[in-house]
Amino acid sequence: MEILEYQFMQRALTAGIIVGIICPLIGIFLVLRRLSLIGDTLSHISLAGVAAGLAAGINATLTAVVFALGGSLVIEYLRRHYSKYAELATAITMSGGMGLAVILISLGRGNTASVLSYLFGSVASVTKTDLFIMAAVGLIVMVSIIALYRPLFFIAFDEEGARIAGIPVNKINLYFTLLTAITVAVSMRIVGILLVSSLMIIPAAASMQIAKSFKTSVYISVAAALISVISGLVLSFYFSLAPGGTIIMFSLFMLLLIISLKKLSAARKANFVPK
Amino acid sequence: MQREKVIEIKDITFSYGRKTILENASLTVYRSDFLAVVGPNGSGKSTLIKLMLGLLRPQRGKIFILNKPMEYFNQWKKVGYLSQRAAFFNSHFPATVREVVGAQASAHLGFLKRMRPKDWRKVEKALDMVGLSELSNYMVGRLSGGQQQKVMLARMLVAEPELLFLDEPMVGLDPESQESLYMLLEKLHQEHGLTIIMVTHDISGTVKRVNRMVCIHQNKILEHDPQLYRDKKITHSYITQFYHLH
Repeated sequence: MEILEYQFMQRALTAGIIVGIICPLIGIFLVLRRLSLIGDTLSHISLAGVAAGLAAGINATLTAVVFALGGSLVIEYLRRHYSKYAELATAITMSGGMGLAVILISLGRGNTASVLSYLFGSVASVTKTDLFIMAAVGLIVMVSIIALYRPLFFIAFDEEGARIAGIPVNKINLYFTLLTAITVAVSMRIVGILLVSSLMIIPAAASMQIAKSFKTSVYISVAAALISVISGLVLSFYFSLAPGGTIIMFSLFMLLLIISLKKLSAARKANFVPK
Repeated sequence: MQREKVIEIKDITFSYGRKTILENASLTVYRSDFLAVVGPNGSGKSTLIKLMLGLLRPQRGKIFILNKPMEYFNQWKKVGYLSQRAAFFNSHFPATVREVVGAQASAHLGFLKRMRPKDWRKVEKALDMVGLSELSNYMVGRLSGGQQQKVMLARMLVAEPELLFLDEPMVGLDPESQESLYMLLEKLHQEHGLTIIMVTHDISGTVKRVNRMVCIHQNKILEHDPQLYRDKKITHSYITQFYHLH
């Protein structure tokens, strides 16, 4: 295949596979715990990190990871203070992240094209260093989710019950937010900062339509994300489209298709009259 | 024969800010009691349960659970708690009955340990106790309200607790589901010897099943014999007024 002859596409597809696995692994828990906005918040903070890296001449993916980690600690700190209005923590942090990003972007004159590639994703600009960072983060996220699968499930289902059962809920919540932060920071290379949270949420939403258990909902969301990422990257290559937008539109198409097929199947069962 | 004390509340005082809920209040719960904590909304029933669970700490007095002071008690595996909120969980949560009960069974395992066959047998035993074995692969959201409440109960039973706390378990259930749940609780009490402490405002359903009833009156824990209620022989003016016994 022509697409695989180009080294930048090999790197982009490898990065896309890593992102296609870790985003839905995080996203399914975010959706079930009604924390979908955290992805958006951390992506805004990652933008500030990107701008700081570009202005300082440091690898922007790395600085994005550092800023996202710091932002996740701020979110957890504010959530304890606003326990009755938890969404305030994400709103405040998002505002701060965006404000800082705007200032840092204005300070890093001449780097607009680079900032845009992080905002919308860029097939061509995944470097070997980026790939190395993404692989390391991918490994950390996958191993962590496997190790913490049961307590994360318990907390998502019944947080108070998890506390009473002796699960260290606060520590796990903090660690999960940190995992979300690094997932967002590395995924922006492929999907773009503006759409990272969509890649976390939409595959999870699609899987919840058809899954018959929690385990299968995890597998389906990963499969849906991988299909979206690979299809989106291939389409963006051949049609010169923004990869982030193409990936997300493909995943939305899959979600709508699943919903339509489900409704069609339900309508057929309702109309079926046995002879 | 002296009965074993499982919970001892000694002269506790508890306030939310300036509002005193309990003052120098005492209560002893014995093994195999089926105790109902009754009273109108806002009377302090849930507060009393939370104090017994260590979720709240009294400003004065002592609470002992299974003969240990509350502050040193760490055998929470022996205690099951069905909160009010358990009845209102997200019904679209994509999990099967087996996964939900299994999560509770695995809570005591370390992070990297897997569920073993003996852990899954405990899950199956708990589901059998509540009569939901055949629905173990059903999504929890597809069950009726009464069945969902039984799933929540199975989650508690999987850890083979000695004490079971239930906070308004009948809320939101239709009369048939309530009766089914009451029968299950009676079975757990009589056949398995479980000590059950239940907060409820459903007097008529509860009084037939429990061996003790308490309510909170003037910041004290007031006990009355359910048999007297059944025989309409209650004479305490607060209780007759509250229960509309005239």
